[in-house]
Amino acid sequence: MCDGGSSASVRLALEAMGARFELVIPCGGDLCDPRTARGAGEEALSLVSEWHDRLSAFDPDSLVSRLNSGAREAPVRVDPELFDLLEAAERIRGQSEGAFDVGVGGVMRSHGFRPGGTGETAGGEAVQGEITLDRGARTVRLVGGAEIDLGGIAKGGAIDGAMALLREAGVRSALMHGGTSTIAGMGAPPGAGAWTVRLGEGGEAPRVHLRDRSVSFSSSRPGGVEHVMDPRTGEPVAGVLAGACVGASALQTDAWATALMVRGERPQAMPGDLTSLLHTPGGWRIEGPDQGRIELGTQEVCL
Amino acid sequence: MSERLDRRQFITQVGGGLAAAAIVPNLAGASSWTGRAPVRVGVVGAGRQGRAILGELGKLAGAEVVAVCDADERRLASGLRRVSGAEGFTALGDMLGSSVGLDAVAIATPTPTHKDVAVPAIEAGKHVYCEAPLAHTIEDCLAINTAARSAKGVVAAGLQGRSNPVYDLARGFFRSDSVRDMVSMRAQRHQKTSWVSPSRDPARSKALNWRLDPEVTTGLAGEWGTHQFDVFHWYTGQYPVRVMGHGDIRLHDDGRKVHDTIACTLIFPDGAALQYGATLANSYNGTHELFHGSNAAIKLAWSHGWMFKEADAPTQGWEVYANRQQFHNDEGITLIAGATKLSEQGKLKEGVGLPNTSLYYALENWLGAIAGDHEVACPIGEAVRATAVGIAAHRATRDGVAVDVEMPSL
Repeated sequence: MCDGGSSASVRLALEAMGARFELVIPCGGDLCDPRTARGAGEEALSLVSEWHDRLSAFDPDSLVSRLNSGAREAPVRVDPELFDLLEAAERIRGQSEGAFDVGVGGVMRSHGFRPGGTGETAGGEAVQGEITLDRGARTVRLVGGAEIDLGGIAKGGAIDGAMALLREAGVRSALMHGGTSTIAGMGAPPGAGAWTVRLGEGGEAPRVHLRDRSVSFSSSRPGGVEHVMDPRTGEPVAGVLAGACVGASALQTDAWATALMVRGERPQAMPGDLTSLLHTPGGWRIEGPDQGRIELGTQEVCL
Repeated sequence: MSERLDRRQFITQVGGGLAAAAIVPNLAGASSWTGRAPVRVGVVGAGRQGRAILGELGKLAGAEVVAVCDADERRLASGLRRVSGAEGFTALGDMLGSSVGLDAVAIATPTPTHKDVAVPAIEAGKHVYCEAPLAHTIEDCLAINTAARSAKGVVAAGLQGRSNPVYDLARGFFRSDSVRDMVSMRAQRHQKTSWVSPSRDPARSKALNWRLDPEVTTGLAGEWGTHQFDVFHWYTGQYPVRVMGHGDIRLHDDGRKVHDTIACTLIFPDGAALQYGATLANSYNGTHELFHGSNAAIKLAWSHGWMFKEADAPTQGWEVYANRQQFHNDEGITLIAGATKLSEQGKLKEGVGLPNTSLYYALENWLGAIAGDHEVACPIGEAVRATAVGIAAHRATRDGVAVDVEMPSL
């Protein structure tokens, strides 16, 4: 990522949700002062930490872990923040025709990506059951084998919340990422029109110019391990090299990057304000309103 | 050390179960709420600490959060997003006079406002949990104490060491003579953070940044040190009589007047000294308290605890079963929560600590006291004394002088 050559910037980092979150806030000139930047940045990362404590599938005492153990026998009332997140996830599940599903927890565990699994499963077990939401009562019920895992959406949601906090504090330019898979750019760095990020490695990797936009990137083999599961089959995704999504909400791009990777194509019901990027052996296919912000080229950019 | 037991007394009292059982803190009570109606709690203050309280209360079967109150509407909104079915209020009086059926109030407002929340809540007959330090002045502490003495409900302070299972376990060892003759005490809190809460609205900014306001802050010694000083009071049964201090701004040179780094020495009546350091400029070694004795040292780090024995210290039977952790040249015996159960499950490993935060246990203790299961771990009187020490230490570090601790008469 480029910071536009700004020497006066506040940089903060945090380990949460199994990833490293980093935040850069340029200071000086028309931008905010370093004191405001640091204070706002700390509050933003603190919010990410709160999301981790509440939603982590790795923590047996988190809200989500307790929901997984308690919402099978009867509906459980949850707070508005978690309900809205689950409702957004269920909406994307419907739009993606099941390619994105936060009920995939059991599948992730059986493949060894979550605590309690052996990682020795033969695979092939689709998500069985469903998550039932009642907006009036604000309750959640798990039916059948559904087990909530918000790993495909929580980082984006936390980044959205963190960026909102930064804006509220008067920050006008910032770049934040969670594990480099979801990246949000607010405003632009000094001397540049937008934050530029490159998706993946290699000269042909797309470069995305982010100005009040987020991008999420999902590839099939980070660290040589197939970690994106198709909830419809319970098998690791194959055939697509990478999926990415650009949009105004990191929550949306986070979830849709996974959905695109699983589907291997842009679903018809995908919201029109989101831009999809799919990398197949045949090359990159880009559709959506942000095509003008994306470049395919061989030019090296600073990271 | 007025409450100290000798080793023989301790073994007699604990009996033959000393072996494995002795390294297991008491975690009972976590699921003992079955069949009882939850306490209906209103949380006042929806900043970071208030949201943490909301999160922990949500885990406790003994509590139902029915109201959230914060004068800052943005914070109130964020607090309400974290709780299911609570009503929001921007004024304490409105919450106390509402029909939400409030039994209890948990206070997480800025320290200088504790009295203005705690006294009306206590006088309204509510059970009250108040975060520590208790207040920013002795006068405010005494006002809360006076109200608490005639309270209808249970009033507790958030000095969390007293309800922390690892700290309770380690205190048993301390008082059993495992440490033997006290040599020295040390504590620190290192956290790289600015204490700045930015806002574009100047009035809101002033309200949010009370910890950096020289007029009302108790500084690092008061805001952080009070919690740690109380651990030493609780263990030794003594309160310091004199504090020498120093402070400086080492990193956050942003126009603030409140030191970001302090060091102080607290002298106890028996001559023992506690060296305390706190900083906003470095995070190394985090937060911990250390007791150095002639037989062993005890290190406490809130979710974890260790004992480091001297080579010539007598061996105790339970050590055979203990988990150990290496710290450079020293080997620590881990004071683990639920050691026996973890061992049975094959999960006894290095670095294992408490499954919940200290805040969780403090709130659980308060709820248990409300239910009549036990006394509160930290009554208001102890919080008044600890806060008095914190305020004295703040004056010492702020002015770079020696200060006699004036312990208020309760």
